[in-house]
Amino acid sequence: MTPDLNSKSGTDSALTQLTAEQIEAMFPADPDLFHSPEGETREVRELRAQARARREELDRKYPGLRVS
Amino acid sequence: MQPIRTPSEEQVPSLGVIESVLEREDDSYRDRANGIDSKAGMILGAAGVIVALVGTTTSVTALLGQALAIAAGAAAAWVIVPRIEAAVASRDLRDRYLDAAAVHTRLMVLNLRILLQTRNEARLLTKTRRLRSASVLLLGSAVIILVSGILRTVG
Repeated sequence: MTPDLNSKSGTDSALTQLTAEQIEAMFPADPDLFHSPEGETREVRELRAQARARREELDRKYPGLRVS
Repeated sequence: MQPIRTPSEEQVPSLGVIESVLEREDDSYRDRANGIDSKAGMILGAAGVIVALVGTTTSVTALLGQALAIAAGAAAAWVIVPRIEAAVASRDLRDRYLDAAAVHTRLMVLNLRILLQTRNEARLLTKTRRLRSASVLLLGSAVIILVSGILRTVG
């Protein structure tokens, strides 16, 4: 179960209850921020696809947890 | 559902430490990748020298050594292929996150860099394996040419 991060009492302890994956789900990597000095390389495209897939996976696993 | 609040800096006290570790790791990956590329360049050069020195010969062992040197050169060139070049687009980061809470941006960038590092680590491993193969092939080539030379002298 996801702790209530908005509760005024004990917010600190609520955050520490989160797993690393849940924190990642709150602030997932932005796929559009990958860049290469050589332009739109295959590596950049693959990284973006990987980040998008990870973001979708986390959204499915922890719906509503992402901080917008 | 109430929107989730971004945590404050006090709630993530070790964030700075984690960021500096990632920074160091990032530099280390690039240094190691450059080191591997330099070694691959040396192997490529050495393979070229072996091929040129052996020249055209009818000796089967020398030809085998030459073939191994060519293979070593090809493997060395293959080492350079997985590049470690992707980074965080600072301009896009500014455009998208300038008005976001600092902790939000830092945690998002942290996750972004972890993704990058996981990939860089895999690429570094691939480069290391290829370099090892190139080194073994070059060594094999040198040994065969040496044996070929000894046999020719004895015979």
